[in-house]
Amino acid sequence: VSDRGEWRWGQPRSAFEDQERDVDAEIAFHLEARVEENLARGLSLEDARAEAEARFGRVAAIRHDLLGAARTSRSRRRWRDALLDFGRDVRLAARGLARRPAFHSGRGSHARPGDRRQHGGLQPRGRARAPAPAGIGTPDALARVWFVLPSLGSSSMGEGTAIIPHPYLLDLEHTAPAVASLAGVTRSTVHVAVPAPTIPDRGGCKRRWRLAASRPRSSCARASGGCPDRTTHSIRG
Amino acid sequence: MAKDPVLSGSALSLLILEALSLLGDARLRIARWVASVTDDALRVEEGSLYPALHRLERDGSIEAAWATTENNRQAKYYRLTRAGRRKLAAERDEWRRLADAMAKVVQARPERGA
Repeated sequence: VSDRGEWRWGQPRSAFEDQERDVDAEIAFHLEARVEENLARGLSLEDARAEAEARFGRVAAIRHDLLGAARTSRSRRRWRDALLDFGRDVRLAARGLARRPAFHSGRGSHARPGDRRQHGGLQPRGRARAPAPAGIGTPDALARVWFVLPSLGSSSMGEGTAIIPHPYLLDLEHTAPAVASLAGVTRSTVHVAVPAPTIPDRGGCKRRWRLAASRPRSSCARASGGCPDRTTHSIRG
Repeated sequence: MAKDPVLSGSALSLLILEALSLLGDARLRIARWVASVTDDALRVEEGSLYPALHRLERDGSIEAAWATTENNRQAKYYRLTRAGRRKLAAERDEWRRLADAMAKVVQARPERGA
């Protein structure tokens, strides 16, 4: 290699994006290098080529194997990336929604009489409540969503779980457009719906759970008489 | 006439990892190096190196990059990753154990009274 500065380990290649061209270029490089070596040893061009091909083996079969493996690998990578994207979007959406004061718990001492949120549990403000997808349960339930990506050949492409409140699930498609295509998969592979867990009653806090961002910490402390873990209610299935 | 020993997938992988650790990117020299260090006892068909190289690349043992050669051609070069070095060490141990065990098997003599 004349210029080692051009080595780009682990970086995407633009000129050789196409797998077929990659494989052909790799085989061609090998054969040409061998032919050049043979020519330098004094063989004729014909003999040099014949010797190079004989040493390489069945070019067509090897090329076929390499292309098949490359396609499988690429497909697996695509699924893995999709899974990672989905996980990232779920996290981002959940984080974003948690910061939005549009979601409130209608339960507990914070709910005012006559508040339209009073009976609704967690729901988006100003939006008609959408029907719960089958298996998810009531809107204030926590849904354990189990998504399994299709397998290719004998290997499973991945699976995982996410525990998200129902409104989050409804809002995912709007919040994270990248999820839209996978959200269908997710909804169709919901296996378990877990009701909201009862949070241990500490310091007089009667709420089952609520979003930490739904009210400022101080107002919670005042209203509940000092809920010690008002901002740390974890969401667990 | 004795047949050339056939290298299985794992043997070929070990051989490639060993060659990359000793010779750097050695695709064009692996076959000769193998023949040389084994006194021609083992022969590798050069084309069969590529599926093995790609397999190792997929499992993260080696990484590849395209570079321009002196002749202004694009060529793919390989090198060991950290995971590849760990795999090499593990496979060396495995092969030594296997070779020791097989040596004991082929040197075994019938037990008296058996």
